[in-house]
Amino acid sequence: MLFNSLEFFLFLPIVFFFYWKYNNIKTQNILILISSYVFYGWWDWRFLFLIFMSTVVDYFVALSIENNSDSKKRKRILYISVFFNLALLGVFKYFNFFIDSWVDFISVFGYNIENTWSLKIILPVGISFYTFQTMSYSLDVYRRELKTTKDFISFASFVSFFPQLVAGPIERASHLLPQILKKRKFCYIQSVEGLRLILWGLFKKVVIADSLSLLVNPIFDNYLNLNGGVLMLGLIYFSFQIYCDFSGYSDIAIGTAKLFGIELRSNFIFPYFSRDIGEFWRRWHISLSSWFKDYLYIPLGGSKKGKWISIRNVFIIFIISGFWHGANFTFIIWGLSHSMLYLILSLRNQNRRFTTVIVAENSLFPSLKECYQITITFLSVMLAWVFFRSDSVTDAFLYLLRMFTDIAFPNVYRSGFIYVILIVLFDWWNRKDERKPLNINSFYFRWISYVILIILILGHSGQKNEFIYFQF
Amino acid sequence: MKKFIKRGIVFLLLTLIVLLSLGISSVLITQQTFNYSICEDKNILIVGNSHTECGINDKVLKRSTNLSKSASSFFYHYIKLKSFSSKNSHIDTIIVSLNYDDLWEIREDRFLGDERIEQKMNQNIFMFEIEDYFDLLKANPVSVILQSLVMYSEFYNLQIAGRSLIGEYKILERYKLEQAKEIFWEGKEEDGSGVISQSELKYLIRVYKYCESHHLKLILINTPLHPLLEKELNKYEKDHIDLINKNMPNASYLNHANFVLPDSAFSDLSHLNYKGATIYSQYLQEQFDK
Repeated sequence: MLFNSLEFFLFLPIVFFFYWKYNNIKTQNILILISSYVFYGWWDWRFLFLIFMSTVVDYFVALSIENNSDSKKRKRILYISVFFNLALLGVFKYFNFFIDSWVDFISVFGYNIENTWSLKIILPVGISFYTFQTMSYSLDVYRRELKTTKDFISFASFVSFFPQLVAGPIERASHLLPQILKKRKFCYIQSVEGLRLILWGLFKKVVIADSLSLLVNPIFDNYLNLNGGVLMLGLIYFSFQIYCDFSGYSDIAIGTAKLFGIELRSNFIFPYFSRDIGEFWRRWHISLSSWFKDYLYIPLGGSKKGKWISIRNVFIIFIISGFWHGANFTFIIWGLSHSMLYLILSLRNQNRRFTTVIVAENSLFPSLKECYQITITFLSVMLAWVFFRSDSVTDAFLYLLRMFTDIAFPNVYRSGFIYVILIVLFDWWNRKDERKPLNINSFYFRWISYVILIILILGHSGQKNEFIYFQF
Repeated sequence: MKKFIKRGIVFLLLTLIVLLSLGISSVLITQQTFNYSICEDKNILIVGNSHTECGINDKVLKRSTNLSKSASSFFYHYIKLKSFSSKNSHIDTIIVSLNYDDLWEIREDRFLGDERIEQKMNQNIFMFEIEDYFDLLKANPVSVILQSLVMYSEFYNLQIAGRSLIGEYKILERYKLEQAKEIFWEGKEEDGSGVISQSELKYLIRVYKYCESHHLKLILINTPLHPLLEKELNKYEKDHIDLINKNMPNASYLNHANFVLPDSAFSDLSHLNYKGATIYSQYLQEQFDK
């Protein structure tokens, strides 16, 4: 079920109504579980089995870990969860990639073998998200940072909680599970904030991202016939398309969760206002980057075990992060390019310069220096997006080559710039709190702004594009 | 909770009123500002689906204006016919595309399918009369009600793109003939062949009756098909002609399905490319000149 579909807007009020009508924790969690399975099964019910299996495995693994005091045994049990979840990803997401790559590799040495092993399987929506979420539960229990729950229904509700099931934010058990185990009370302000976030997320997705996709797709499909200026526009548009698409999804997810009295973690905090790449990664897809930081980077030694180990760890974390996005070399190169950008800062110990406040927090405009920093960061990120968007590494390099060699003023597809300006202005205005968009004091102006957004969303709702991150 | 629901309902009602007002006013404005006028020297109006949209170049068939649009139902042909002919009294001939499969039940979604209503209703609604709206509403109430909430959605496009949004000659650049042949040989053509859609037939008859009552010459045209497909479909020719004779005795029927053209004139098995459209339109021009 898509967040931007009619079914969802019939489904949501029904679940909301019964959820608050039966205001006891047990019924609410059963309702969350059933509605989450309906939500996911709407897309393809056969893959519900995978979520269920992942839930069962981590439920029992965590209990066994907690009941064992022998550290070796605990580790071995933990491997069951890690192996099972990675195996799910391996089979459903990466199997064909490895087989195809092997066949290509062999052919370099003159052995042309027919590829008969590739599987005709669909990539289950959200598999990368929920496997990471369940794994975090077992990992936290293993690290003695979390107590297990024996309440299977609540645990299954945590794993499958529908607002963030298919595209995050990837929640930590230590943050979400206690909320699911606790009695929730209806809060008017929280619900209104939730609706505002849903509206704002839909605006970003339907009005900005989907409109830009209509320009991005033909530009990337015909990049060999377009001038460098248009290709530059295509990249700028894609940068904002993916931002609005994914952060729009996160806003809707966070807003929907608020309607059920649950707070999810922020996933995006105005990443394009970052002043360096380190700040960018603290503001972009926060739930994934912090997952990798806590469960991979720090266990590998982080930056505390010397320069070379630190460099190795940066490469590992970014390359795996790229590979997490998709089984294609384009994503690996995308991750690699970010690791290079990050290392430039990291080696000069400048990667933690901007860790707290947003740019120009107490002024209307950024300083010239900040403008320069933001522009450089955006351009670096934007160039790396070529690899993310292109079908192959060759296409990505050819795109860049053409963009830098056929320099000319863009002669077509200029209309999309209005959407870019619009989102930059809105984000700048709203930059102090990403969780409170449309927070206008005047009651009348607030309602007028809601209605205008609804008019724009419905007016743009002709094409229902899936969210980009569904494919991951 | 009560306050939340109460405010929510008030907000929804207000939004509904704003959406409907915006929709109605955008339809009224488009009705007033849309350019219906057709040059005095063009007396032929072409309405149809992708077959005429890609098959008849109105720059070659000089006395014609092509308002065809792909995947259009006869319902929309009828709407366009009424709107344009009533405002252009010099129009005396109407060409309507009618290939073998256009009236089949499997094409009924062009009229009542959700996707088609989403695509077409608001592009054409400014030409609707009230009974046209209710006809569509009866056919698919859910989609029509939903689209009625966003009647304003095509306002901007109609102001910018004008007539080209509702239909015009389209140069088909794609080359999918080989692919189409493969699919054809694999026998992947759709089922349900030959069963007539009553709703499509109803609107074709309405087109006919409108032409009769307004003394317009109606030409039903079966545009060229690739020989491979023509051979497959010509078994339906007799039924096709019987149906026309029975329901539209005074209409002319030009069956050009077997019009000889090289492979290079086809974009796929049933659509002409630019070359094919030029050759075919020249032929039509010669016929009209005679």
